[in-house]
Amino acid sequence: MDIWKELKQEGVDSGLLEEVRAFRDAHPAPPEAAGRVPRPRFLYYGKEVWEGAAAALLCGEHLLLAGPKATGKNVLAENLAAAFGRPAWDVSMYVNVDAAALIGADTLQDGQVAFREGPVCQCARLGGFGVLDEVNMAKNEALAVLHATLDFRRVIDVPGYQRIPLDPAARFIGTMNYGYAGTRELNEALVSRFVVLDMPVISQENLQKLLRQGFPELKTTWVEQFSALFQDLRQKCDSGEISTKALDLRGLLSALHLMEKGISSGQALELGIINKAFDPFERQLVADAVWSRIPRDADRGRLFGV
Amino acid sequence: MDRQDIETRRADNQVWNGAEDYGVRSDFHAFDPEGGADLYFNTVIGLVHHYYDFRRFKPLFNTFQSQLGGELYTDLFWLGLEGAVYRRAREDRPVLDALRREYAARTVARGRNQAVRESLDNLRCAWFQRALGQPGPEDDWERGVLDALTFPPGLNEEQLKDRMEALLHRYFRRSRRSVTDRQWAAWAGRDMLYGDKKRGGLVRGNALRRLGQSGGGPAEEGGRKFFWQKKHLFHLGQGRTREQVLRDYVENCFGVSMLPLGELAAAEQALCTGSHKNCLLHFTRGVLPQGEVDGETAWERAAFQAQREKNRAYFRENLVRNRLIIAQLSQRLQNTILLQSDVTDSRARAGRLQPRLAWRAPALRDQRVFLQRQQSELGELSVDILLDASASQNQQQEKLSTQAYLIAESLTRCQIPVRVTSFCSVSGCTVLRILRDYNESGNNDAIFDYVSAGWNRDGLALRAMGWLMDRSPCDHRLFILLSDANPNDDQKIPAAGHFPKDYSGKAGVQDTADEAALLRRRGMAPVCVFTGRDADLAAAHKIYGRDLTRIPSIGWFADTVGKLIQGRIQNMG
Repeated sequence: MDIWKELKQEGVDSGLLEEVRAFRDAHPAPPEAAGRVPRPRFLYYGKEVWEGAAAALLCGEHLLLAGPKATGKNVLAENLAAAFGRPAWDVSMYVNVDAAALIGADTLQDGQVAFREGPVCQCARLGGFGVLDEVNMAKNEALAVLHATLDFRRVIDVPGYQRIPLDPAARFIGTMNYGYAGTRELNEALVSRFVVLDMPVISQENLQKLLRQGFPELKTTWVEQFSALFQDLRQKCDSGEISTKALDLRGLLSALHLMEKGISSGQALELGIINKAFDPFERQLVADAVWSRIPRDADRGRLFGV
Repeated sequence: MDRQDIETRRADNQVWNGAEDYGVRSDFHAFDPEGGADLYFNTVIGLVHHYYDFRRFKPLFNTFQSQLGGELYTDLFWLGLEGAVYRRAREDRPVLDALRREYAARTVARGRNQAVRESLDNLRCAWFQRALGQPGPEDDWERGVLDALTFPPGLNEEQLKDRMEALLHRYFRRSRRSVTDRQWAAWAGRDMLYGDKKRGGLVRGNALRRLGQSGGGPAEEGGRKFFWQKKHLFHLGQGRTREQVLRDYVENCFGVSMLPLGELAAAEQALCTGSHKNCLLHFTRGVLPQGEVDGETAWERAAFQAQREKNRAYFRENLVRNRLIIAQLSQRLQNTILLQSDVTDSRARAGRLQPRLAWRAPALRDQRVFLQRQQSELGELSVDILLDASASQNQQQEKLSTQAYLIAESLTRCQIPVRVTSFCSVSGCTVLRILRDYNESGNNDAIFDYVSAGWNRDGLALRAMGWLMDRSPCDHRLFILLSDANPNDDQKIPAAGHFPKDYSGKAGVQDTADEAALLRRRGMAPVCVFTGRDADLAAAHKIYGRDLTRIPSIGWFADTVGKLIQGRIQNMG
């Protein structure tokens, strides 16, 4: 995918794109981390969100992408790292994450106690984009260690070692799904260190674009039907009939990959979407929604082909 | 929910899939011969709602209801609508072709009944043979009906109805509707006064409030709504009925005691003291004794049963909302439990260096001289929910049972053992009925067996719950109470050398507050979800202090109750 071409087609402000290019040229990725610069397969569709995010990063801000499931938070984070040419570190946050897991910890090397860098340290030193995925899964105590990193001080102070200043190109992007199981309120001190982008639910039009881009051979009829199916599932979630487990854009894309490889639609959709609901009744409701849009026995020839 | 409920719910969802509108409440559902919701036809029903203004069809369906052969007319009209909507929707929803073929094949496989002419089954079979592109043998009459039923594309609701009426007139000799008939049918489909809202019910009678009166029964419901407040129950004054008569009565109404006699006597000796001297206790799981009962008891039981059905119906009516609340509350609780679980340090190869262990690295080649934090499980937690089941809750039994169910189901989803108990008192006997016990995770439905009756001696109920909770093996115990904080019992508070005091008003509140304080000191602080009137809020605060919440409307339920339970769980840590 040529991200510049796609962004231009999306109508993202050309001045802004020029600035991103300039940033990229001014901060080439260090050779030891060049392999970490992502090559995204999907573009995040949403001109306003793209422009807001890019402008914030250019201004040196860290980003917090907040939105419900399947709004493309990680796709956008990956796209931004690719556009800015930054190596990316994905840090999955969970309740057990502590300062050591983020910054690093002592370990023994040749009989000597040495500091082993954590992902945040590496990212800061090498000027990467650190994606703090599901940032509100971690405890506030663990995140407090990032306060000095994320604010104007832009340093990591590891007790017993030197202060590590943030590379000028380093940025952190948090993602969060407010109210998700296992999440909690972020404290104000942390939130104030981010600019917050409220991620909108993907529109039918943008989802169709996404499907067309990811699966150029998927027939138009089925692009419409798969995007309508996703809309149906979202509506069912919003109405409280099912949980959000089956509202899984990644799962839908995985199912399409499987169909592209020749797995029948029935089996692929079970693997990618239906079986995500573990409650038998909920699974039945999801299955009914799926089969009222997509035939169970459609093969690759029926779905794909220009 | 039984299978029928489940399949009906599934059918609703299939209709919504087609309608793309979750506000649709369809009067029609399609089921296969095994009782399963039929995906194709329910989707079609939904599509009819999507493409047409279904309200315009309703008068015709209403007319069918009152006619001989109405069922046949209804099904036939649906066949016609199926064809019309299929042709209209197949472009938008290409899967309909496959679904229709499958449905048609199943219908045709059931075959025709050659012995019967002019039957719906034969028409249906022939209709779907056409759908499969394999028209079977059709006589002139069948051919005529099916041709007329194949409505041309582009017809609006009125034209479809006119076509249908013409068909019925021609082939079924059904007379065309008169103007009056049409007006009636249109009117019958509307709820002119109330719109979509439910009509307010009459004041429901309450079984135990009638105790001690001759007769009883439904005919006497209306005038008795405040009967219990007049203290006619058993006409006790401060005296007591013969204990055995009372115990027999309570067993027959609420179920046999779950405690052996000796254990019950010990419990009463320990608990029925001080303000509750002379009171009795009855712990039951609601298992009714075998054998005949007198007419009055039988009537009480029937009234209870009717209420239980109302509780379940109320929950089902608001199923969507309730499921959403359960999902929200479960998420909140899971989150809290996750965050509250303990953290322990363990030795590891990386982490925080422990100087006291450092010697092990060179001396023993043991590199695990660092400490790492690890999450461990929250100590075992059990939750008790106590429902005020006195007659003061008479007007909100459905609501209360639903609220208890929502909490219990959410806790069950978090694998937290929960017990739901209701309490009321009858002539000095405080009855605690366990509706669902800790280990009955699949039995939350029993919570809808909750019914309210009699008085409420809250202080004794709290004391008895403390006694029951002491038997829980869990490290942490959470106690949630759904109550109006209005203690009121006909058994007075004994006072040496003085006249006994009523167990109500300030005295009742003070006694309950004392018992709540005692439970707090024992680490079982009751958390109250207040279900009463504004006037009783001050009393509720006096009893439960800060552990009190009020639900402004059901939409706030998950949020409010979630916060309350979260607070308690966090304090356990």
